[in-house]
Amino acid sequence: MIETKGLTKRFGDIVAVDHIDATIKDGSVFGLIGTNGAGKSTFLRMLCGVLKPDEGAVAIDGKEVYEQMEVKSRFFYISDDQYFFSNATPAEMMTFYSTVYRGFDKRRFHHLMKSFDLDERRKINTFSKGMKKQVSVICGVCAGTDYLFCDETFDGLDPVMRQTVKSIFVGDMEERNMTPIIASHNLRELEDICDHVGLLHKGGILLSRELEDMKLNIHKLQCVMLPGTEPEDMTELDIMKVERRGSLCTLTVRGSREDIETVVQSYHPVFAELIPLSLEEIFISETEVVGYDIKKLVL
Amino acid sequence: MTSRSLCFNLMKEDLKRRVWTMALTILSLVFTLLVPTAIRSSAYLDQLAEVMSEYEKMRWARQLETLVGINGMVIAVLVILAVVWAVSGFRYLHNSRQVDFYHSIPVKRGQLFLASYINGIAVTAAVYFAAQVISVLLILRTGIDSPLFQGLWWKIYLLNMVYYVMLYTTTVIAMMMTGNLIVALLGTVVFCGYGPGVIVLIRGYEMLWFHTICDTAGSAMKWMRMLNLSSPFANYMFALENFSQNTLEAGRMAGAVAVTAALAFLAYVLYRLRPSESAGKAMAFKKTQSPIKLLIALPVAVVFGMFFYSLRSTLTWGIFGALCGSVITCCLMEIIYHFDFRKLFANWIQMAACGAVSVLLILAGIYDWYGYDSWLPKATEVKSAAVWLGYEDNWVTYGEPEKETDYRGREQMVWNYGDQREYQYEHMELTDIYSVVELAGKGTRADGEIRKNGLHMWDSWGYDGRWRICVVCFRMNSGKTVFRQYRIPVDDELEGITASIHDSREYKNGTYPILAQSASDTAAVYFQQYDQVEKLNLDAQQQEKLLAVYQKELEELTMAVREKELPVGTIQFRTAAHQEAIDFYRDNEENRYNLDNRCYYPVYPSFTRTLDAIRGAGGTVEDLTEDMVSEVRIQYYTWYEGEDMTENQAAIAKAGYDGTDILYDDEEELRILTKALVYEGYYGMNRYYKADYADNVDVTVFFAKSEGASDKAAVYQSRRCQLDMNRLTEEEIQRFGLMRFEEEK
Repeated sequence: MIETKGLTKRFGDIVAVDHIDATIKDGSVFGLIGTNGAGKSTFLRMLCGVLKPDEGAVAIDGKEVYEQMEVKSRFFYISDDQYFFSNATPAEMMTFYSTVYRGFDKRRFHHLMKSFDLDERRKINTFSKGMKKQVSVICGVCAGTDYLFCDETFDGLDPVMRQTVKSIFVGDMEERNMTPIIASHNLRELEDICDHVGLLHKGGILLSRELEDMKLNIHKLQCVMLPGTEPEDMTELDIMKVERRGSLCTLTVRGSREDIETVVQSYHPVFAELIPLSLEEIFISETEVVGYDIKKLVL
Repeated sequence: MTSRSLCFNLMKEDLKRRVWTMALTILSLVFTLLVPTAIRSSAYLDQLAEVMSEYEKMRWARQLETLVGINGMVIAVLVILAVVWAVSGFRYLHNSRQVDFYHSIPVKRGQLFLASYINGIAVTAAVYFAAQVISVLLILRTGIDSPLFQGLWWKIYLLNMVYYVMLYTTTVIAMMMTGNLIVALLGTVVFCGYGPGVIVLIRGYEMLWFHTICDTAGSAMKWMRMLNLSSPFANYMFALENFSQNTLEAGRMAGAVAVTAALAFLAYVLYRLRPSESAGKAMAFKKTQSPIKLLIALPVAVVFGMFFYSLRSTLTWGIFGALCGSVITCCLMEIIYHFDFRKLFANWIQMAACGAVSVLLILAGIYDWYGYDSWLPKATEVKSAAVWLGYEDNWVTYGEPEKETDYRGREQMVWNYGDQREYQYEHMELTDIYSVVELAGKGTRADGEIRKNGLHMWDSWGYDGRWRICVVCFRMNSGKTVFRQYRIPVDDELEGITASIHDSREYKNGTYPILAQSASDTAAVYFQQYDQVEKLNLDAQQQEKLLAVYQKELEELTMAVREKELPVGTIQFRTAAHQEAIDFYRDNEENRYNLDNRCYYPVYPSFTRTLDAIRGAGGTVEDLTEDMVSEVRIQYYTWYEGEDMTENQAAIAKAGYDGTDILYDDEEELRILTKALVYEGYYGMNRYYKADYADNVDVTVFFAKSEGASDKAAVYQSRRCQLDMNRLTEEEIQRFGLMRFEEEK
């Protein structure tokens, strides 16, 4: 488990990461969402020991990360613009990584390279941006580490490749309990892979929840109430937002599906339907509650 | 994986990425060491060594020794390689992508540092060693024997490698302290050049504003020591100089190794402390920015101030320069720090502080706030003193011959020159302190006038007379020794003071080494008159007596006598060491003329007892008469253009215009000229002689005794002379077209 307490990093007068307390549980996919400059990369660079926090601490299973080789050997960091040696081929990168990562799986590397149709002997600097991302993901998963830190890794991958990578991640999570931590500015990209999402804004963490909890605990209710009845009359419901289009009301309601259905049925609506919220909609709702306009933050 | 094997693997991986650096190392050392050695040694073999003279063989040996010894090209290559390896090894620290990559992998920063650091040394050491060994083997194949080939080659190898590592580590430190390659290279230049630069600045500051500062061997040694320690590069150059003179001590090398080790440790610590986010910034450590800026800006501001003050010698320009230097340097540093031209006034408080301090330093110099030049001791505070009265006695030979062995193991005889001033400071113990303080007082007052008039030390400030440069060495009761150099206008008072000092026995004892020479040191006595040298036929007892007589008469020589008399000859009491040196040169078939001619002392007409002893020993002492002169050749530099010139004057005017000589060989002309002739060797030995030398002529005398005394005579059989117009009538002066300097103008 990765835990940060009061994690802070300043670059001159700019506070890039401001007292972040976060917990990343093993075996889940942690999505780190935020706008450009929100502090995602800085947060990740502190998690992997590249940057030394000005305040606070990062620990993996209670052990400090910075300059601790035993701890650092448990993760692999893929930066948003991963560095490859000048004129290096994927095979040469594999050789280097296998020098520093004891559990590097060379056989799997060859297999994945073949599966992704990438030439191991070709110079990486002749690869496209997406191909370079693929090489870095392959190196990352083959390193056999417990954690994989990905900074904007899916940016540049085509949808097919994105799904392939996701399936590799899922496979590794199932097989060896790998924990990917993925930073992105794109909510839609993370929606179908993340178990837990943290929203960063201006160096601080706005919210950090289990995606499933959020999804199960917040619903969109579309209903047509009986004449003389208003949605607001359903006082038993924790209504976050009400929108009306004629007689059709769209409510964002907090609570379990069963509880909401029971309450709504007791008011005998003309029509009522519960619709699952997208991650984007959940964030809009949640952040609006805490006083932010998510559209300005993320979208 | 153990950390040792990880480090080894990292080194291996690191080398894979620095193939070009290895190639550069191999190529540069092969072409500066191996290839030239192969060419020279094969050329030697082709020259048929068996028919070569010993001298030719020695010349070849020295050429080959230089290749594997102190080879300038190899040294230059090593200096460049030190920078290249340091840059290529730690360049990744200046790129945030690479920093993220290297610092996220499970390798300690210390190991990353070591892998790159060791590679930067190991490859050069191995390649240089191989090139050096092969070069020595190639030279050995020629059969040339030299101590250098029998083992000295590895000493120069070690010396070069120690300083290679020192320079390499210095560049690594510059890489650690910066986040940009250009700034790192500038940093390396600063590390190597700052110390020497500041030392030169302090010297310049002293020379500009400490008017009475005096350079002594001690102060020169101090400066050289400081320069030696001021930077790795300067230290390297001094070490090479010491090595070439065979004076490089093991302790010094141990010191260099210790400093290098300390620098390596510093580099390691800096690597560990270096924030990863500093990649791409000018400076890696923010806290170092201001101190570095001020350390650079302040000296530059003072240099600017000094430069502008030197141009116009006014306070305004001095201050203008200091402020200009402060602003320009501070702005430039801020632009570099921020990589943004608009940030040039980012820290104006520091700029203002720098400007203020530099202006204060300029003011302190101009107005002598240090009180350096106005310092004058009380006579009671001075225990003894020594005085250098100028170049009047610069004919005295100081020092002695010494046999030296160079780094190649070859013996050579050199004259270890002593400095007149140093000899005087060391040996003169003047007890008439009041005269010395009076002399110093005149000096400080003269300097006060210069400052009052806002003039430079060497300005004439309206004085059109002569100057005397004097140096006073005060040995204070406190044990301190203070040196001051004064520039004093010559007047009767000064002449009285200098005569008083000159006439003292202490002055003579502190000026003429002959007065400290013992009979037992004396091997032979030679007397020289004009161009004739005679060895005096003396037994040991007579030699001792002559030495004692001469010492006494020289000791009693007064300024009044020197003003009236010129030497009639010169005498040399040749020491055993001097004779040994002459013999060494004769045995080695080298020119020993300069050695033969040293340590001659003047014999004045009033040295009657000395002259009697010379005559008694068979020496010939005679006055210069027209019988001894066959021709006098005069070259005229200038001539007036006037009407009513005599035929003679017209001929002289034409000769002056054409730049040709006029030969005088008529008996009457020779009679007139001979009585005015002052032999070059003699007027040089007595500058106090009150003569009125003709300034517009260059006179060469051909002695009658010389063979072929005519215009076709070889020049070296003649001697240059001066013409003292005091010994001629006005008519005679006119006849020969002689002039004084003032008349020429």
